[in-house]
Amino acid sequence: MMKTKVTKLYDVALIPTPEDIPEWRVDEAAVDGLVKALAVQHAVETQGDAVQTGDTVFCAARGALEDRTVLVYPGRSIPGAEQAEKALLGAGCGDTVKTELAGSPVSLTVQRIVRRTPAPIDDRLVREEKIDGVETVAAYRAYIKEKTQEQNRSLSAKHLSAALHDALVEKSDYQVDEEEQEAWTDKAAKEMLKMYEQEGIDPHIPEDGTDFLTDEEVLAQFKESLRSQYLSLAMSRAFCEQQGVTFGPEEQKLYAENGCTGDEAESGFMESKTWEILYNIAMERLEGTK
Amino acid sequence: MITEATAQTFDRLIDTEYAVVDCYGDFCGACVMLEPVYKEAAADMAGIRFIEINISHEWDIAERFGIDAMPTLLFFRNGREVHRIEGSMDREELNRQIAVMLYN
Repeated sequence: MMKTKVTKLYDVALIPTPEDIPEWRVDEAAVDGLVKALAVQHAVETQGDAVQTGDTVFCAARGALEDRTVLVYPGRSIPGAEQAEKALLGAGCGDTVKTELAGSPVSLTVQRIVRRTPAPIDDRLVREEKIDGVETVAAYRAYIKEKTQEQNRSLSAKHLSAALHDALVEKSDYQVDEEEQEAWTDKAAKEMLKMYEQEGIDPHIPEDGTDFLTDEEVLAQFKESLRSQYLSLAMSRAFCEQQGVTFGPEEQKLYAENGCTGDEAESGFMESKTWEILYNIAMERLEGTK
Repeated sequence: MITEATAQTFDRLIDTEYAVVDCYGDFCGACVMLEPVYKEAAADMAGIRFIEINISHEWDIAERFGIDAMPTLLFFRNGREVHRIEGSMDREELNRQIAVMLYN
């Protein structure tokens, strides 16, 4: 049983929604954009006579990049190809232009000009997507709006639930068992150091480029950063108690089947349920926003 | 047009002059953000095969290429990896990464 306790759990209802939570609703202009994107995805390819902005130009190169077909995309300002994109405008198949690519002089001979024309936006285009029950442009507009909003709302809810979680940890009051906190953060810091080493990252090199850190300094930094994770365990227990969530026999059995028992299992369960409840609170809150 | 790959079809799909592979996964917010940018590039840029693979399920590919972040974009020329980048990005940044494959 965890010794550190929450003495006063902050009220989640008092935590304001941060202003930087992305807007999840999709307006009709955005739906227009999504429908146009569908038309572009189903574009018809034709051969062009003379290079225009928006084409893909397949070239043979001399002087540089001779080992490959050189692709140039006029109008897209691909880094390193800006000069070549302009130089090729108006060129036809078989024409050669002298220009520059990735800083090197090069001669490009046009082999092929591919032009993609967006498909017409009509019911036939929608039917090509083979979405159950969606066979008209109007139905597709409704479908894509709902699907995009669902995705956006889920992402925004994740952002918001993280903000609610962090605020609960920060703003709640605790009676901290210093010995327990020290033992927990010490163990976690050593595990973190091991993980860094396995990933090939040297934590002894500080970000500000000053003197190398000793092992003790690295561990001290890790322990400081892990303190909020430790407090989060206490917060999750208090939050679950407030929400009427208990780690009962069925839940214990499930965790034991996965090799996790005792305090570790209980902490894992409480944290997981806390995140789940905060996510639901976030979804409800977002649903209520204009 | 983006082609969904599996471990079985992967080698055949990257065996082309230019290929980009979006290694995405389940419950990955950054992958969701990259999706429309990647789709736009795929629709716009002929001559490059745009591929995607769900490495939450295709673990063999994740292990083979040492992928530990999602999304990771892998860039291939004639079946050989020439470049990679991790994380979501806007179209301008994606263009910058594609340029490495095309012109380096």
